[in-house]
Amino acid sequence: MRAIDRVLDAIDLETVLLAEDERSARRLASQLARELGFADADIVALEWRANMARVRIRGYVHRPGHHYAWLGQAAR
Amino acid sequence: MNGGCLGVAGTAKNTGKTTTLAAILREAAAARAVVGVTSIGYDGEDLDHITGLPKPRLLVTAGTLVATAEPALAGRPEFELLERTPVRTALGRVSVARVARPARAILAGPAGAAGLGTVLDLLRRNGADLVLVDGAFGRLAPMTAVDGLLIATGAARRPEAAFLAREAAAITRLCSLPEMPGKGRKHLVRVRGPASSLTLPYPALLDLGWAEEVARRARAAGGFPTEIYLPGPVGAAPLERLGQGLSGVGSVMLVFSHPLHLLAGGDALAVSFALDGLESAGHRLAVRQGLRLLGLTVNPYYPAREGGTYRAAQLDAAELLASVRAAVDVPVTDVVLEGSRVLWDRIWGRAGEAGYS
Amino acid sequence: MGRRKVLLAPLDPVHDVGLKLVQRALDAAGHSTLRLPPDLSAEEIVSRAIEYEPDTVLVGRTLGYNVPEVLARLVDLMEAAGMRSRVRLGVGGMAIRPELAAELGYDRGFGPGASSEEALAFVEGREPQPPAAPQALEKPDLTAGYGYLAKDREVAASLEAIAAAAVAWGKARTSPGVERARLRRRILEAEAGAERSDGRISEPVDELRAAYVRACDPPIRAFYEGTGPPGKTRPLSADEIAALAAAADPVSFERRQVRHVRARPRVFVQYGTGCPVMDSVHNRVAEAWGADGLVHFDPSWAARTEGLIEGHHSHEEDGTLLTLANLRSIGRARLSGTLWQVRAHRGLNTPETVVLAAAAGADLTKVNPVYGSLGAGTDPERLVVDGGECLSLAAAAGLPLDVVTNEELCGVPAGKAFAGMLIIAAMAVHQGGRPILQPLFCLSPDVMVTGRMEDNFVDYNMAKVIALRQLYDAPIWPGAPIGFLTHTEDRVQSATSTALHAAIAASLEVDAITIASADEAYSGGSIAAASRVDTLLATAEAFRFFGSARVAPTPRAEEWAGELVAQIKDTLRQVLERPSLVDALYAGVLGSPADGVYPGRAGRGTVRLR
Repeated sequence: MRAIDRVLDAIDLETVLLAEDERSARRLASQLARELGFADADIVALEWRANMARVRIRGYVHRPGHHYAWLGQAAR
Repeated sequence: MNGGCLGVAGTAKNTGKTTTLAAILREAAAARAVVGVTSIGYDGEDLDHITGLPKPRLLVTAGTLVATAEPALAGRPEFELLERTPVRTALGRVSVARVARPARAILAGPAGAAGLGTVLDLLRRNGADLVLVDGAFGRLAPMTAVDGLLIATGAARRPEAAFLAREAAAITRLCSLPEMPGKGRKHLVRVRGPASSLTLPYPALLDLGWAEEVARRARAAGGFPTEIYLPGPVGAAPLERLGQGLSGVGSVMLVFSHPLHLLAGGDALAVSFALDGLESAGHRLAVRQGLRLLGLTVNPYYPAREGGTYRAAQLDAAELLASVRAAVDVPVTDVVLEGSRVLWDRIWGRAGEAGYS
Repeated sequence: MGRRKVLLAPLDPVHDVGLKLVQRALDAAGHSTLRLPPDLSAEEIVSRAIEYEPDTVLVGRTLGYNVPEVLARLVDLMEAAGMRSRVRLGVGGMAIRPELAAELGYDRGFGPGASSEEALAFVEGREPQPPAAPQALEKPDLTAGYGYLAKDREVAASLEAIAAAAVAWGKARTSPGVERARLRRRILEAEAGAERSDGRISEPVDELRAAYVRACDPPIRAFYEGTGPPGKTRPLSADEIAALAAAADPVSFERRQVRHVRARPRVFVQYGTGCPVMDSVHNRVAEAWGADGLVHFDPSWAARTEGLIEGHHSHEEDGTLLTLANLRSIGRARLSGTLWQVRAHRGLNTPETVVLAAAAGADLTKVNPVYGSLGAGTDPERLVVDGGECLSLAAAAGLPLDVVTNEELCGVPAGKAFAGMLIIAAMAVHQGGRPILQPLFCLSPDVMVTGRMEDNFVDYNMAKVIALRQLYDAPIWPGAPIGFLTHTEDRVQSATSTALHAAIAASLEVDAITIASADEAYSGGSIAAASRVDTLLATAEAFRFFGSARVAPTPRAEEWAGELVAQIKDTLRQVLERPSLVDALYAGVLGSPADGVYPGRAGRGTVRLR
């Protein structure tokens, strides 16, 4: 059993990124998700100020309707 | 091994109790002994619940008897329940079970000597040739119920070989105080002079005021021979204060209840130092009940704290082993370095020397 | 059980609050206690214990570096002093788990969630209370105690006249939606009958289903004819259906409490990830974190298509398909005390939705042809006919319903929307139903234009409830969700806004609220379970914070409530001047293109006279 198989739906990553503008912050956020191994990721929230971006990235482990690795243990 | 009971205690958490216990279990299985095993605390998780680092596993073979809290047996068909005990732990009531097929044991047993006595009897009654008691943290006091003791020390206590050697020397010194069985109540301080005997309401010597009172009574008892019985845990500072109070009284016989009670405060070095002071002032030392210290094990591994987390770190194993060995006159084993067979032989060699078989 | 002596030892440099609370409980129960000052050494504590001779020692300590060693040393000293067999030892603190307590040698560990009562039980040597029983909670009736009487004579007369006429108008007509609902009911009855006798689907069911299929749009007809499910849907696999079935097995767990001292409002959450399996798990998360009720969200495209498919189906996008199989599975997976709402407020399948909701065991439904036709794209004439049928079906099934006013989000001023809501509520009552008023707590376009929320979000939201209470004696359930259009993509902002709106609702003692997740403003994907926890936690915190204290609005709340009452009365007068409710809807009396709404077109021309 891998721990990631017990993730219900998604993993949110929250941090502050150093970035010169909002566009590069978005690019970095997407890149970060890829670097961390999330093939299916999305930026839920991003607020850029003063060369920094407060960001919440969502890495989907199981989108609704996909095959859930936890299926079968769902009931409990 | 006729129902004898061997305890494995540690000077601190992560000093190698479980590794030592696992080694003895292995050798006992090879010797086809029926082993009963319990703990005065809790052991058996994959990861240490404080440091989060992996812990050695406790594997038990078929036929082994375990005494552990019922939740640790629930839903595990590898264990066949034999008997429930009235002894309770924070995790539930202790039961005795027989291992039906090789399994990983989670031990949660009686926290105190009284409960441990009950559980040991039950394990013996169910046919254990040898009973092993796993310690917990640096807790030693419940081990007064065992017949022979191994003490595990190591870098987790303090990552400094010289300190560990000094402390090991202090521990073995306290454990080798001469035995002087006595009569009368065991739980309270007693001062017996040439003409009088007085019991004081202290089951320990942890308070400076108590120490002063004991010394005053000893002075009033009127000279040689004076014997002071000091049960329970004894602090180094009250001991020193007692020494000051006894100056000029002449040679006093100081009898402590048990070596492990002297170790209960967790500072063997300070207590040993205080005892040195008393000895050099001409007083004599003894314990009412002695302890068979079968040896020490040393463990160079320690969890190093870094920020909020821990990582596994290690002292030089050979150097640690040599330092401790040079400081004490009991067998010292690094189980990982030397193997479980060596440990096993040393335990029984020592037990033989000590007239225990 | 006699009086016990308890020594309380804060083995901590500073904190002894937990022990003070425990001491209060022990003193109140008649035990004698001695609480030592903080920051004594283990040796000092044991010395004091020797002098005090307690039955129990309770140690409090926040876990930190080397703390376990100190806690263990205390136990060892007690043992060496011969006290361990006479004195019970308990330890409490942030990181104390039973395993750690056992390892340290204590008789009991009290973790962060432990109550004073648990410590008291330990001291008294009672068995610890068994874990909370399965949540066999009694399901609350949100409508209990309401008389549904208009409190203003003019409003009473207007509502009665409009409602009576609208109900009669609807009853004289029918629609494919009404027909399918009747067919569906007969199919369900026939299937139930067939199962009871020989387990075979009897001939009439096929005929009934054939009639049903003829009344459906092509994509739905294709499904029944075996060409495949509509786009973006797929049947659930056997594994998924098994998981859904397993989710309905009884479980026992401790629910977090959202509400604090007030019994109201009950807290509803919305679900509808598209996948019934994910929904049932999300709902379990919501229930565990204290949600009182669940609201089913169906996909919006399904509302524009005549007919519903059957069986277990997953939908690729937001909204979970309305099928009896989906609903039954999701409904069965909820706890027995959890309220469940299936919405029938818009679209071409509303009467059938009420039939399915009742058959699946739902507790509530949602009906409002005014919003459904002005704000959600369904033809007014069609939806008044279908909505009338919904009200009648809900009344017959005993399902209370909320009357939602989401047209406010499109720009309709609250007063107009409320007039429509009161008309539908009156129509429900006219047919023996139990409606619940659902004003929005929102930053609506009208509010933005008129600047009513420039200073605060309190006054106008409170004014809405004050106004409705002045006019009508009915339960109130702000939603859906509260704080609509105030949320941003930031989870802290989003959860805080929800919590503060919940605090207003609690202050007003409304009957229920629907809260969003912290993903309310995020449109890039489905809601994550963690975001559901966020707003439930935030709402619980707001309820805990305010307790029975009230949020005080400025005098403008009363002033605006007066304006709203006048606006409602004026709108009702204008409706009365029209030949029918449907005519009023087309004419924009209850919301016009100038406000931002247009009469919907789905289902136009499908109404027939009976």
